[in-house]
Amino acid sequence: MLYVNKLIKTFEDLHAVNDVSFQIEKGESYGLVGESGSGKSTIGNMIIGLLDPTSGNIRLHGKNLWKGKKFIRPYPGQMQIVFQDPQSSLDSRFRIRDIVTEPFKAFSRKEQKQKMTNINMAEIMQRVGLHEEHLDRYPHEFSGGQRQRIAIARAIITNPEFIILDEPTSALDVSVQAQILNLLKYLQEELDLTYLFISHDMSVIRYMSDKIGVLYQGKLIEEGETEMIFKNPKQDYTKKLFASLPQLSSQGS
Amino acid sequence: MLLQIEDLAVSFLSMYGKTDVLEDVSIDIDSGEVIGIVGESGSGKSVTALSILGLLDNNAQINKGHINYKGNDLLTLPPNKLQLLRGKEIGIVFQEPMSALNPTMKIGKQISNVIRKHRNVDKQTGKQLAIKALEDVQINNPQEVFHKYSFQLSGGMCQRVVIALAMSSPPELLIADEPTTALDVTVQAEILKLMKKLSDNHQTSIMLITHDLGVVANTCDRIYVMYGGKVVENGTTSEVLYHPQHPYTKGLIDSIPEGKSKNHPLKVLQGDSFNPGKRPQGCVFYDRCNIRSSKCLEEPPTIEVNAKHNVACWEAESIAIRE
Repeated sequence: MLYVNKLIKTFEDLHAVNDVSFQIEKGESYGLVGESGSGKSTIGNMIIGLLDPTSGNIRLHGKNLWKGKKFIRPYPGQMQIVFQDPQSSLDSRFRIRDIVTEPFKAFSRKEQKQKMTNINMAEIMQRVGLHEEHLDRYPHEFSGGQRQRIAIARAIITNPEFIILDEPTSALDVSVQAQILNLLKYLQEELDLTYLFISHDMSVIRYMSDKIGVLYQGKLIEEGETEMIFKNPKQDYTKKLFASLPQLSSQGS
Repeated sequence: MLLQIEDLAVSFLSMYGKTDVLEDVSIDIDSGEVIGIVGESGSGKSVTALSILGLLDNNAQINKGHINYKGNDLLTLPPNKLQLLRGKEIGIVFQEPMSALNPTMKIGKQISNVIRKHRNVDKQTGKQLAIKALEDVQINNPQEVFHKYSFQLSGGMCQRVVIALAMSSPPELLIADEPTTALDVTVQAEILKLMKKLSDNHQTSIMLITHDLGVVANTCDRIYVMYGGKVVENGTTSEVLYHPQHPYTKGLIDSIPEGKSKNHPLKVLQGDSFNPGKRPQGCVFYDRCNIRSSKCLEEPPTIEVNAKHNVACWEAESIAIRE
């Protein structure tokens, strides 16, 4: 479904993303792991159209997303993104209703009107574990976990088929993180979504992804089925990464 | 006993009134011991650390309690006496290494200033000791780093410098407040190893504050689990992590995706992170607890599970009685 081919992004003389290729099948969860500066968010931003690639191409259903510096947007809302920090990704002066329905502004007037009348807000809110009465409140009235639920509601409102999750739980407490991970899994099944899951947290990536790609200094150094890589990493860096992971090891009951 | 926090209660005053942030917190550390304080946001773990060094903001009010350090109560110690302890006997490392260092002063000068202040040595010896301190934290080219500014170094290097600063005296107690949270995992592993090694070499006690159970599992001798400004469970690391008694500790361990099957949803703690503005009556965990009963509307007692393990929960008490 999504093809990333020989993607390169350079900032001045820094190779942020260096010749990265991978593909994501429909309904799959693809995890990108790496430490800070490995280029994982840069890749996400190039797919969603926030950054133009220096070279290489990205194809969605066979169609190129970038023509030179111009982003050819697919059908509005087909791809969505959820960012790390729900504090800054929600406009504090908007009511929740306006935040969640904002993606509709990408449609023509006519379609916009149609969508607004057809959409069942109560159902959307319920899907992400919130209530209809929350719609008229402002972001500051919600906790971090709830805000991330709002960001997820905004992502699913356009019935996307592909969502980029850029460190969606890194700003949350562990107990809240688990709620959001469960929600994301549930939505994936329910709405038949394809995910690109970006994270530095190995245990989260392992739990969420079918396949993973390990990034190091802009290069995709290892890729494959999640369990295969975790059980039998080939590259030294991947081994080091897994060995550094503080573990609870065996758990008694 | 090197440090003993006894029934510490702290509130913050604001224009909206008084908010209790710590309630009856008791923690003790022996000489050379590494203890972990684990909790999520709002649990009061950082406030506990700051109150030891008298670094709380002006709007903080200490309602009761004692912090005994070598026979002195740090809470009543005059500021000038406390200042003598800061950095020299009790060091602290914060989460953000970049903001802990002065960006306009070279690394070497920052360290040698601290060393000269605490050890009363001349400039030349100060410099030598500073380079030695950088060596101790495994910086490969201490001479070079000595002449650099903090913004020329990576986050991991900066945190090493901060640890070098904190360990330069060396202190009796090192408080490390989320020292590796802002760092990458590979760097985190190195920093934790380093702290452990320094603690062994100098018999320094470490109070490691973190939200990451994996980090404590690998570094600490004993753990205190905090929730909503209270210690809900404490004991040796293996006791608390592998035989947790408190529903919060259990839930927290279950929430970690590590080692869980992909095909099942994670067991979760319901509800949101603790909100100090909405402190429930009785047990602090009442709102989110899955085994609460009417008894829990009253403050639970602290029950000794065994000699190395205490828990503050009514349910644990009834289990103990049944057994």
